[in-house]
Amino acid sequence: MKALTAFSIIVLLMILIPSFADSSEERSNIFLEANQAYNKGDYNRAISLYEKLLEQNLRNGLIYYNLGNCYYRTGEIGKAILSYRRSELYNPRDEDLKANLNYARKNTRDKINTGNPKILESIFFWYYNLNCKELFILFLILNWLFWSLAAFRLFKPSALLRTIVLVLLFTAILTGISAASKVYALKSLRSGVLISKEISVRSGNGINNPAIFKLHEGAEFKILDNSDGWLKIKLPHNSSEMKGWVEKKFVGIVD
Amino acid sequence: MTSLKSIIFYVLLIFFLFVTLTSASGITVSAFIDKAEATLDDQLNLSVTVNGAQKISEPVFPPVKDFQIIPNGNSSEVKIINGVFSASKAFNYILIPQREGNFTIEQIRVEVQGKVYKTNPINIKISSSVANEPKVISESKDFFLTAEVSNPNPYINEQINYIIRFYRKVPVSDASLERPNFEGFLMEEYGKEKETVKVIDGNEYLVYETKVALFPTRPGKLEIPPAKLRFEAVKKSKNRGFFADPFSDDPFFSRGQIESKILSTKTLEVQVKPLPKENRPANFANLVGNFKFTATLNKDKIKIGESATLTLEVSGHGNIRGVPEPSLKESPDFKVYSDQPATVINNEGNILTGKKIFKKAIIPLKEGTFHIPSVEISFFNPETGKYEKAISQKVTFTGLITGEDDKLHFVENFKGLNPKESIKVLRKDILPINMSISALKDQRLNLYDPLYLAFSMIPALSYLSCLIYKKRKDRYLGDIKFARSKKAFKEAKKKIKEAKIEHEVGKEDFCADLSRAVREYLGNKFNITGSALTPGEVLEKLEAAGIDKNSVEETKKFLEKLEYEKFVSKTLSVKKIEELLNSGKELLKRLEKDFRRTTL
Repeated sequence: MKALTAFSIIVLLMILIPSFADSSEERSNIFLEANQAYNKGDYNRAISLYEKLLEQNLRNGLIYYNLGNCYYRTGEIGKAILSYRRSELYNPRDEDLKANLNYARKNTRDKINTGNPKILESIFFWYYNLNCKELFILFLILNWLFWSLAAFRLFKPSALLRTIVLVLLFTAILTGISAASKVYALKSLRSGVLISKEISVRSGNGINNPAIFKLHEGAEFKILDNSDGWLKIKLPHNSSEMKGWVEKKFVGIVD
Repeated sequence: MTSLKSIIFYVLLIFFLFVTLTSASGITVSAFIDKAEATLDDQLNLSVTVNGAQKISEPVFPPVKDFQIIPNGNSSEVKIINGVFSASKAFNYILIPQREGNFTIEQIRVEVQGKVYKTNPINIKISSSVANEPKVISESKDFFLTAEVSNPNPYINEQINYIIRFYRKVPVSDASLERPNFEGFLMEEYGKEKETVKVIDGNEYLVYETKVALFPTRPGKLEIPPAKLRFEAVKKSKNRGFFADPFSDDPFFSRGQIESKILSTKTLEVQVKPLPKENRPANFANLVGNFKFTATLNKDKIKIGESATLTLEVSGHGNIRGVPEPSLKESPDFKVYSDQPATVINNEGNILTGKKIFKKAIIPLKEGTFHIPSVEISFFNPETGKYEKAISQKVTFTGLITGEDDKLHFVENFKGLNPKESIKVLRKDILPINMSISALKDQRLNLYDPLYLAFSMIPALSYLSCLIYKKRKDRYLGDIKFARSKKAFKEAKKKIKEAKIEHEVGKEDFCADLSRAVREYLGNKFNITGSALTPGEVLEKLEAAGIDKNSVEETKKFLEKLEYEKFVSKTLSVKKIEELLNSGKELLKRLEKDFRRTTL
């Protein structure tokens, strides 16, 4: 019986390992080809190759960053900003990405105050500087340390250990809440970028509703609701906010 | 209890069957059109209605080339009449005919609860427009929309104007214009829109005119799809009798009579001519229009190491943004640094004019008189139908050696002030792509990853195990009664085993040992000295502890039997010993179970 199980595992590994290797090699080739196409100035080909990697269910901030560069080069500012924003979800500390995103934003027509207040970024630095996965792994490490030291303290209690355990508990809870809120923000509080040249934002989710203001390519906003192919959006305007409905097909969602 | 569960089950089953049957059987899908015959100027209202369901996916149209289909909102309705529940949802569309003829809109598909329903095909007859030209517009037309191009047969990259005019006799509100997607063209905005008054067949129209400049980017037939104008207008009353409401034409007083309108222009065709291949200059860079080229230097005497600005200006009309950067030949006498070009477009009038300015810093490296050679650009002039050249004039300047005074100043400067210059930004651009192979690593968070689940659960479970172990250990140390009670069964089993071994090695007091094992077990359970217990005391204690009567009786009998065997049978057969051992073990197990139950 044991021999049969071992044999099955070996056979399974023999089947699976080459397929993983194949897919990884294919991805490497596509990635290298896309980079070459970009360097040669064939941006449309580079776009199709980077998109192909994404179609293969691969999500990485660098691919979105490179894709953003391609769209910028082809003059599609909306899609460039959308790709940079998607890249930001995975690589929030990437300085090159920040520079390119800011540069692309300067090429948009609408003056919209984007980004988070500096003070919030300084206070909740870990939230803004770590991506979802990193936050969750940090939480797991702190969680592991907390329970391990708490267990150790059962047998060797000391005041110092108690303090350490309490600090670990606090930080683990904090990172746990941060990770959960980041996941929630990603799933529910989505942002959008306008990828069409110009659209009318209407007062309701239908073409018959009057247009209340216009937005241009690259405009960024928060998405509040989704109904019948229309999105309810919100964006800051001077010191207040503007809300309205836009057709979903003109919007790229940062997800 | 079982019967109640089965009743609930059957009631639910019947309910679900009923709901499924009624909902599946009651669904009907139909499509209606408000008129079967119309002209090219009309718009038709199509409604796809689904009765008997509310959660419905958007209807899917078959390919329709002859009409433009614009969604016009949804409406839902739920009714309960005489206890019968009915729900319906209507999807509304506006159809704008594109050409005349008899057309059939094939079956529209609607998916309801995973099942696909189809509507009946709809026949529509479209006749030619009543008013093809503004001249013959009937009096009944309060508004209409036209679109035209200034030149339907331009050269590639030649500027044409796309003009939309909205004629209206009555006031409208909330008008919004959707320009078409100018695929195959580059677009440039004009300045302000124009509003004029035009009289057509004695009717005075207010005309709103807006235009954009287009530059075709490829030769051949290009189509400009229709532009759409949405607005709200006051519905015209058919009865204008003596008692008609005098305010009905005023949008302020007749809010209820306002209706939404969508006007659409026709699809326009532009036949783009390719540029002639004959006499095409080698440096031709797809520039089409008419341009001039000038070059000026801001000073004609420049000290070595200092810079002067050379301004190269290309002005005229055409695709000015496409003017390529003029290249100056490398010279061993002076260095040239390029700045970012600036484009100025003048979007007033009927043709876009503008200029593109290239600034270059010229720094002489030697002393002497130098010439910046003339630079030329080639363009195609559609007015003459020929390739032409714009040539900048030659610029001459003198490179001067830095004087002694200047050298001294320079040294002083170096000593006293900061001689550093701020970095001159020539051009801004995005940073390059990242070619790190780490891009192929998936960065998503998969919360269901077994490794994550294990890492989040195992530490807490380990702590819990340690805690239970610690509590148990502490109790063993602090509570002797508890410790004895817990150890009793294990010790008794050990003693029985020892009794058997001792008997095998020849010791004769097997029954006494077995009896002691059972009594010490009970002593441990009651936290007393067990070996001194008599069967009577055992009985009393067990009954007081609430042990099952049968177990108590069995214990008593077993102990009495051992006493009896101890005194009566001096030597025991192997079979008898096995029997006693098994009985003893069984009894202990039974008692252990009873003790556990009573402590619970």
